[in-house]
Parts: sequence; C-alpha cells; structure tokens
Amino acid sequence: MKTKNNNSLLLEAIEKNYDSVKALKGVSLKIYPGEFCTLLGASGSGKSTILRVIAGFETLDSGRLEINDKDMSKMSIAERNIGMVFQNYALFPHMDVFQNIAFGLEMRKLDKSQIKEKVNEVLELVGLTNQKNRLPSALSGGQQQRVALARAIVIEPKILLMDEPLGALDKNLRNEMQKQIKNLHKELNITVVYVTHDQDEAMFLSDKIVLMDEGMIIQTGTCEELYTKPKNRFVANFLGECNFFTLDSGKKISIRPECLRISSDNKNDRNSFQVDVEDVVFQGRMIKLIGNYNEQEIIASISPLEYELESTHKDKIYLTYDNKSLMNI
Amino acid sequence: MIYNNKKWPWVAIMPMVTLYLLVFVWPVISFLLLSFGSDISSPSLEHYEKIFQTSIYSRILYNTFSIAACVTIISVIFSYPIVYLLINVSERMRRLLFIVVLLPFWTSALVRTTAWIVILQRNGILNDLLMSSGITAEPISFVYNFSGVLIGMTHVMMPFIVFPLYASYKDLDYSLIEAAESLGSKSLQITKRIILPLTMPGVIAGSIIVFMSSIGYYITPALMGGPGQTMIAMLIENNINQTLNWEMAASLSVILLLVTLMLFIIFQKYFGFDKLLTSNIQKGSRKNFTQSKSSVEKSMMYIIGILVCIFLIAPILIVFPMSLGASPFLEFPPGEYSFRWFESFFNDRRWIRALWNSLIAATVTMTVSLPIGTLAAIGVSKMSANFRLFFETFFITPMVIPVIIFAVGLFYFLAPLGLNSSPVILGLAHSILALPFVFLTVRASLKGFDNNLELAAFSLGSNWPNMFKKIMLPIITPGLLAGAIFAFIQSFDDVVLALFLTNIKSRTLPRVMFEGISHEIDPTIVAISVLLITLTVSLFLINNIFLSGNHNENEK
Repeated sequence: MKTKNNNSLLLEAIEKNYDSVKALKGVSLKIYPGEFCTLLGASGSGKSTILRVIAGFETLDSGRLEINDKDMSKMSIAERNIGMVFQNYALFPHMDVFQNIAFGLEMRKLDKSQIKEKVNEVLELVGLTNQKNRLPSALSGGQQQRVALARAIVIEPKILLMDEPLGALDKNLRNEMQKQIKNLHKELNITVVYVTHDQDEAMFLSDKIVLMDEGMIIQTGTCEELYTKPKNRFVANFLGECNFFTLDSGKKISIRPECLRISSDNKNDRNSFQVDVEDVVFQGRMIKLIGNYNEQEIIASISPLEYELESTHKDKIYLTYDNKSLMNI
Repeated sequence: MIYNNKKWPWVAIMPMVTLYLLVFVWPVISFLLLSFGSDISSPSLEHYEKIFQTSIYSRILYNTFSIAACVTIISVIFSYPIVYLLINVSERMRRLLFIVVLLPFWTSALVRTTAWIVILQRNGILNDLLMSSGITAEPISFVYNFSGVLIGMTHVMMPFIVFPLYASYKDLDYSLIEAAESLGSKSLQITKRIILPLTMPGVIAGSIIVFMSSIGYYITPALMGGPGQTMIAMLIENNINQTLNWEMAASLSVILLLVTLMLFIIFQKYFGFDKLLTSNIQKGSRKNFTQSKSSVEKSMMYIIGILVCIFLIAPILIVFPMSLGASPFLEFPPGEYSFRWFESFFNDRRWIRALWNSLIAATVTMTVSLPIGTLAAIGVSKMSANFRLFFETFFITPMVIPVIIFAVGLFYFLAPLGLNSSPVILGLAHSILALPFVFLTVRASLKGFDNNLELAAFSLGSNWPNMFKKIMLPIITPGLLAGAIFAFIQSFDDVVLALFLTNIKSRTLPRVMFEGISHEIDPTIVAISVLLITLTVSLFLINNIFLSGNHNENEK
C-alpha cells in the first residue's frame, strides 16, 4: 500500500552513471509543495544531474522518482508538466518574445485568445510587455533571463526547475533578479528546485538547501541549520569562512569569524585567548582581523566601532566567544 | 520517449546507409571484383601483371601521376600570391576577390573547359591576339596537349589550395610577425621561418585534395589533352566502351581506388574532410596583415596575384560577349551582336529535350538526397563519438572516389537490368554524389543548434515532430537550402555518370555539350555556357540573400 504523504517531489536512492563516471550515488530527497529548494554544490557535484533527472532529460539507472506522488519512470518529458529555466536560457532564436512564451501554451492546444491573455499576463509579471515583439538576440542578458522565466511559468508547471539561471549576469543585475525570483515564488506559491554554486544566492532564496558533493547529498536543512549547525567541516566551509583551532587547554574550537569578539575583560573571561595581530583589513561594514594563535590562523570579523573601543594594544588582542556559538564539528 | 531512445539515431541513418550500400557500395565492389577474372572461385592476377608489364599501360599510369603532381605544384605556387592579395586588400576588395575565386569554383567544369578551348585553340582568342600584335607569326598549340591539360586542370583545382591556405593565413597570429621583426628578421626570413611553416598544414591539406582529385579526373584531360595525355580515368572508359575489356577496366579501377583511398585516409587522419566545406572562410574580419616587405617584392606579389585572378575569372567572363556574336564562327570581340545562338538553343528539340532530362534528374536528386541526408545528419549528431566518426567518413566517400569508377560500377550493375537509360535512375545515381554535400551542410548547421533548445521544447510539452517542425527546421533551414543548391549543381553539372547511364533519348544537357565540345565547339554551346553560369550565379545569390536576410533579422 502506498501512503499518501503529499510530497511535491520525491527522490529515492537515485543512481545515475555516465559510462564509468558515477554522477549520482544514491540520492534521496523530499520536497514539499510550495517549497523553494536549492541544490548547492561545486561543479561536478551532481546538482545539475538531479535537475535533468527530474525534468526527464536523463533516465535513471536505479531508484525512484515521484512528482505529486506519481511515479515518473514511464512519463515522457512533455507529459511531466515541468517548467525549466536553462543556464543559457535556450530561447528559440527565430521566435520573438511573445512566440517564445506562447510556445508551451500552443503545445497544450489552448485557443488563441486564451494564449494571448496568459502571455500578456506573464509579460506584465516579468515587466517585458514593451519587448514582446523583439527577438531574443535583441534583448539584454537580464531580459533574456526573464523571458526564459516567463516561458517556464506560463504553463503553470507543477515544479519549476532552474539551472544556475543567474550565472551569466553581472553582480548588480544578479541581486536584482534574485529579489524578483523570490517575489515571484511568493506570489505564485510554486515548488521551485534551484541549482547554484553561490552560497549567498542559496541563502537569500531558499527555504531548504541541499548541499551536494561528488554525487551525494551531504546535508539538507534550512539556511540557518546549515550555517549554524553544519554536519561537518565541508558544510561549514562551503557556507562561509570558518576557524578551526585548538586552545592551550586542549579544547578544540570551531567557530565563525563573526562569532569572535574582542574581550573587554580578559582577566575574568574564561573563554578569552590572546592572538598576535598579523593584518587588519577594512571591509566596509566589518573589520577583518587576521591573527596568529600558536601558529594557527584565526580570522575574526569585528565591527569598526568595537575595534576602536576595545583594542588597546593594536598588535596583541584578546578574543573571546560564546559557548553557544561553537559548532560541534 | 524519443529523446532517450538509443535506437533512433540508427533508424535515422538507415535510409542513407541503405541507399549507399545498394546504389554505391554494392555496384562498385561487384565491378571491382571483375579485376580478379570472370570466375571469382579461381581469382587470378593476370590483369594486374599485364598493366605493369605492358609499356602503354605503365606510361598512362606515369602520365596520370605526373600530370596530377604538376597540377598540384602549379596550384600551390600560384595560390600564395592570390592569398597574399586576399589578406592585404580592404574588406570590400576581399569580397570581390572571393567572388573571383568562388565563381569559377562553382561553375561547371564543362563550361570552363569550353571557355578555355575557345581561348586557347589554334584560331582562338589568344592566338589571334599574339599574331595580330606580331609577337608570333604562326599559331601556337596551347590545347590538345600537355599545356592544355595543365591549364584546364589547374583552373579547376586551384581553389582547393586557395581556401585552406587563406584559412591558415587568417589564423596566423599577427603578433608572431611583430615578434620576429622585433627580433631582427627581415621579410624573406619571416616568410621562410614563420609564414611558410605555419601555413604548411593548410597547403598540404589542399595538395592532398588536389592530387587525389586529379588522378581520377576525366572531363578536362579528355577534352583538352592529346593522345599523349591519356590519363587512367580515360583508359578505364576506353576499356569499357571501345575494347570491352571489363576485367582490365576493373583492375585499373582498383589501382586508382587504392591510391585515392590511401590519400583520403591520410587526409582524414590529419585534417578532416568536413572542415573544407564547413569552415566559414569568408567570415571573421581581422586587421590587415601587412607584412613589411620591400616595395619590389610587394608589387611582384601583387602583380602575380592579379594575373592569377585574371587567369581564374577570364574564361568565365569571356564567354559572355562571345555568346552574343552574330557570325557562325567564334570571334572575339564579335563584329556584330545578336541573340541567334540563344534562339538556336531554345529552338532545337535536341537541346530542349536534353535540358528537360537534366531537370528531371536534378529534381529526383534533390527530392531523394535532401530528406535522406538531413535525417542522417541529425542521426549522426546524436551518436557517440566513435560511431559518429565512422559514419561521417563513410557518408563522404562518394566525394573522393573517382566518379568514373562509380559510373562504370553502376553501369555494370544496371545495364543487365535494362535500367541504364532513364533520367530518373540517373537522378538517383546523382543523389549519391549530392548526399555528401547535403549531409555536410546540414551537419554544419546542426553544430550551431543548441541541444537545450530541443530539451526546452520537450519540457514545454512538445513532441518530437512538433519540435522538429517549429524549432529545429527553421534553425537549420540555411543549411538545407545550401544543401539543396549543392545537390542541384552536382546533378546538373555531371557528365561522367550521364555518359554511361543515358542513351540518345535520355541524354542530359552536359552530355550533349560534352559530345559537342569533343567534336567542335559551335556558338550554341557558348550560349549554353552563359546560361549555365547565370544559373549558378543566381543560385548563389539566392542563397546569400536568404542567409543575409536571416542574419539581419536576428540583429534587429
């Protein structure tokens, strides 16, 4: 008996090999309806392969894939009703913006007036109404990206897949698009599976992050869980800078740079320890202290104000930490 | 789920493989087997022995290879000045020069041969010029001898060197020249130490093609050579049509084929045949490559370059005024002008029937080769690298196998069935010549087709036929159009297959022309040549207009 567990997407022990290369080594994952789930990992970690498996571009060697509790093994790409935004957008070069977006609706045999209405609606949503008669080659990168997005969501897919959709854009545009995508997700309440190698992007967008390495899932959780309670040092390092060092007392410390403070009372503070300051880097909002403790590099991120108030000797500084901000790895 | 179906690329190439095996491989092999005697159960090598023992045969083999070698060397030497010119002139001038090189390249060999004979024969234009200016008293024999064959064949073959040489010149990093100059090289040393070695691969690639095509060449030596310039292809034809010695013809064909295949394998291993057609040499603008040669050297190169250009384009241009002459003898310039020779073409039932036969054959060729070649190109693009290389090589072999062998093989296969006299069958045979071109042009346009477009269409709910119709087909249409034009020209220009596969009723235009030229060139043939050149030019204009129209739209 199959139990209804109401998953939007279920992957069970999925394996995929390319010739002798094991791209996916038994991946299991549940994604709930309306969730924004990001697959995060370096290139070659298997994150894009998962996306291609979900879309049906790749067949499984073993394992089970369900979408809305339905087995997908016999389902063609076209029948899956999935929206896909490609890394290079894959806009049809010979069709204008309107025709590109209308394509999926035409395949669903909607009548002309309905198509027009839906396309215009989604054009407005992504702010491209004025561009609808232009060819993709006449659009900027950001505009092309929005056409790709509009084309994928206009068919009202069960799941929206996005393969590093912002990779080709410059930083400012990327931040702008991240906001738009986040708003769109809220507005449409759609399940999104998003692939990126950028941890800031992942943390900004996601309800759930799946961190991958070498074809396996290393850890799954909310942004906060992954950042503050990483399962191991790989996860800790992937999501941000991290200090690993051993105190004179023999205590092993794993801590984020921003969790280190300058000790204001090193006599009574049992957690304080003294480092030789090797470099002080001004980074705007924060000051990065690079220190040396028994030949171990320590990085602390401290507000400029705190640095001015608390550091009496600029070359030797006492740092301290809260026990609850230690990571158990 | 068609996308993931591993079988379907095989299904897609099946029609082309089947057609090749049936119409090309099987007839040719069964003909070649005759070389071991009529009784295959007791093969003998007596014909091969005879070829190497009989002095006339050995002489013809020697002729063949020495003519091919001369043509190759001359083509290389005169390609350098023209490429130098191409590199150094302005963008506009370069486009014009490309037309000068491309136009003869795409004009039928028969038309070019006609023009050359008109220019070179005893009472031809060149002798008129020489004698009236008092340089010579007696007419000089330029044609129906060694010089005739060399001139005619070099004209046909030179573009095969010019294109790869230009491509490798263009890829040359200009900073290398600057580096050599800064290290103290003079222009001659730069040429010797930098330019020659770096352009060598292009030249060798072109030379192999030229040598390979020359040894199996039929039309030009048959029409422009004398008895002393008999080449192996003519000897094969002679053995079939005159002495009826099929086994000897087969043995000669085996020798020709082995040498050709060996050259082809070397070429394919080091260069790759598809690059010849697909590397877009006209594209890519780069800054002018002005190597600081001394002005004397420079003007020498320019003068020779311009002379070579004249050599290439003159025969094409000269037939235009000549076709308009009123007198029954060919004159240049004509004393009086008229359209009578065009009228004589359109009023002669013999010519019109030949034209009609040619059009039927060309239509069949396009109808057969376009869908089959396109399907195979799509199928091959989905195959793994090893299979892909194998089938790519297999599919282009008709381009390199001497047409005479294919023609005789097919004749041997079809004549007993009584199928050797229909323009439809001829068109089917021409498809074998056209298919490599269709295959290569579609392959090239598929290389520019992003696989994700296909996946995007599927994920938006499209099935394969819809995706093909709405996405793939519009994008590869320029390739298809070019393929169609190639196919048409391959069929419309063919002489050799028509010589064997048509009779007096089903003769095609090139065959009737060929027979006319070998007898005596009458002005009607010159008028037809003009029509054929005009046709070729318009086909390429259509192609270019279509391509550039597409291009502009994308930049809108």
